[in-house]
Amino acid sequence: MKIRPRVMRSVLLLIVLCISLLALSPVKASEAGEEQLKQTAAFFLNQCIQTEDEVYRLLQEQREADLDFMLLQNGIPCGGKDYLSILRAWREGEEECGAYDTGQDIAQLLDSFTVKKRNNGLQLTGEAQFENRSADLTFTFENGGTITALTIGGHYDMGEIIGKAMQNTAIGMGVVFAVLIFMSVIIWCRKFVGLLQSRIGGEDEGSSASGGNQRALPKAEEEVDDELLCIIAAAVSRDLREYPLRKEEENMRKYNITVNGKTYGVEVEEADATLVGNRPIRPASVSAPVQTAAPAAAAAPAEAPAPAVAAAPAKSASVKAAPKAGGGSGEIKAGITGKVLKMNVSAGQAVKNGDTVMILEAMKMEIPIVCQKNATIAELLVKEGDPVEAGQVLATLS
Amino acid sequence: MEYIAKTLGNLLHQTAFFNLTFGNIIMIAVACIFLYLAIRKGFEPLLLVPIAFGMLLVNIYPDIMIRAKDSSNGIAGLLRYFYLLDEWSILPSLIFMGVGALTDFRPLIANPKSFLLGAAAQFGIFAAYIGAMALDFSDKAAAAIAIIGGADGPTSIFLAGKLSQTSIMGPIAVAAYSYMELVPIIQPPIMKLLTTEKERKIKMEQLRPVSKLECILFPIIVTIVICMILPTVAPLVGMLMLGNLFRECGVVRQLSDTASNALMYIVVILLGTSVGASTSAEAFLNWDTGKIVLIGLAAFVFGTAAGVLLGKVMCLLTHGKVNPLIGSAGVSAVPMAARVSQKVGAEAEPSNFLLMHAMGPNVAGVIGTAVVAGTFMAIFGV
Repeated sequence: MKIRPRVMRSVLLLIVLCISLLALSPVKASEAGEEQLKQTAAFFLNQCIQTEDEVYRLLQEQREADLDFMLLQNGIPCGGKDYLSILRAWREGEEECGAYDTGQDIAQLLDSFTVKKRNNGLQLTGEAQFENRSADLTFTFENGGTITALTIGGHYDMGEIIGKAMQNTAIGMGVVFAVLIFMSVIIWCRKFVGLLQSRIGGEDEGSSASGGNQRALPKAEEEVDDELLCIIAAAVSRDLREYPLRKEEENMRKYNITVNGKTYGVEVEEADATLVGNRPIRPASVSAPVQTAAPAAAAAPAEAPAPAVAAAPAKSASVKAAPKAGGGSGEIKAGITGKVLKMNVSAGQAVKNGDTVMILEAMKMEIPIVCQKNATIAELLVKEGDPVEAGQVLATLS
Repeated sequence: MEYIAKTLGNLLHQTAFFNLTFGNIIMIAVACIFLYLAIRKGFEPLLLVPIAFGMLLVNIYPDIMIRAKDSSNGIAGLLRYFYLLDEWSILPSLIFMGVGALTDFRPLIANPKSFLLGAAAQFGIFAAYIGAMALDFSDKAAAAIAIIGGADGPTSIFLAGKLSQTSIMGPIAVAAYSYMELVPIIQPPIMKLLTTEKERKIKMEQLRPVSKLECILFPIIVTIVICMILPTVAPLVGMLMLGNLFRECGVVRQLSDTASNALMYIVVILLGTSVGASTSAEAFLNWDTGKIVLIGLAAFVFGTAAGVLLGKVMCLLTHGKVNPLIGSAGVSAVPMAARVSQKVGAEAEPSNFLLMHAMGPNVAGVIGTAVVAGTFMAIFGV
């Protein structure tokens, strides 16, 4: 431990030394002299002005390697591809700003240009006159003094700039709305797809019924209301959690679920591994009562699903229907599909208006479920970790 | 003895101390603050840790971003190769595939009207575009900057690369990603300002269930329609929809798992470090960066406002069935913007559940931003 102050002192000394060295380090000189850059720029400016369209076209037809070689032979510090792009930029610039004003003395013009260091190279920038407007010429050089690009930015006044921006905005917003409205119309057309599907689905059902499967009439589907659906969903998801779908079942399982003495046939199809238990139900496949329930099944508590019948794929699970003592208002429903994260109350506890009963989690977001009247919790129908569907009854109040 | 002195001298001169500029030191400090925020404060660590570390590395050792042709042995720096994957728009497209594999488009399919809100929020991009033009940026630079308003990091990088605005790609990416994190702070005041208490309390009816067939058809149809109209965004939209098809078709679970987990995180590492590395002091510490940050903020504000205002219009037209708050989710930070809608809605009325309704405009916003990127590319003939 005695050593420590000494170590600290030497470290401090080292830091001070380094900082002083840093301050003394020589300023980096620019890699290529300014004069040399201006000479190159002047050469290229002349090239741009003098190159006829015909020559430009011929140059474009050259192979890149040939062009590289030609430029190298003439001692022009530029790659073939860059050379062509500079000529093209010049032509585009002249198109934008009008013909170059040849009255300007190139040497004088370049004298007014300034050199700036930019990323990995240098830029030579200045103003030149064109027929319609003045423009900024920018030559970009690499560290070795090789010229890589020329950009010509015409000078517009603010009105022109804003006008152009507005035009582009109008075009852009128009396109976005057009494309997205088009998309929504196409999706809206799913009504017809749904129609088609139900027709095909209807045929399917017909054929499976003739195959000996016990299925109910599609007409009866309308009798299944939302609340019932939620009860069935809860039962099925609980069962699925305890007995996940196996491969042998080909991602399908059939249930007969008894609610208040009526038995419903439910088919569960697995759509996505991550969604098992979350969205396992295709509501269309809940069918009407197929048989009268055995009273024993109706009385079985929801927490204990009946053991699976080994041979048959169909299981019987039963649900204790939510007692409807206080009518529809005596319930707390889930407003969103998700998972129960935390329970804040227990059965029998008194709650006030505005109390948070439990916290659901949906899309990694905590969503509190709030009780909206003063009451007592009669029964909690879910526990922590349960997946819930939107609209599912979470608790009953008395 | 002379040899030892010379060697020691060389060693000293190759240390970072000799090459550091004042700007580098500032950027190193910024990187350390970012690391602190990410690790200690838990501020989006998944993105911020790689970005901040890339920032740290490039400012200590700038040659880690050296180009192949500038280096002595013709081999570029490590992070330069990562960065090339950005420039070639490989990483943004792969991120989109992961986003597609993670995103549930059901709320959008159930309520196609959400597309309108997703489109309206893109106005922020164009407002920023006009602003950037007025602040003396070139046409293409203005477009690349404005797309920050889409709150969509990958699309911003994609467009900056396509419009060859690589010199400002670093500030754009950093601004886009930081604003994505700041959505929960920027949006609520605007949303509250533009809506009344009564509107915020509107409860929306349950979304209809969506069949599996629709879920499978959706990515295919979107790909066909958008890639036909705007072929230039095919890399983005195509990958987004491919990821979603992996998720929905149910027969390639391994692919959808890989795209949304392993591959996604690999790409985040590469993208994060290379974006961080594009913030070398000389490229980052200038007035343009300040302007870009300001324009990005304006883009967000206008985008949110436009979404909420169209939400109000829809609220009027449907006689109060649409809660205008979901409009703000058209800004496509998935799912942050949707969470904000949920939160603001629940503040006004605790039993209000807007999350799923807001997801519709939210994912429509992703598609909308990609469409805007495509439109810009078409306008500039790229």
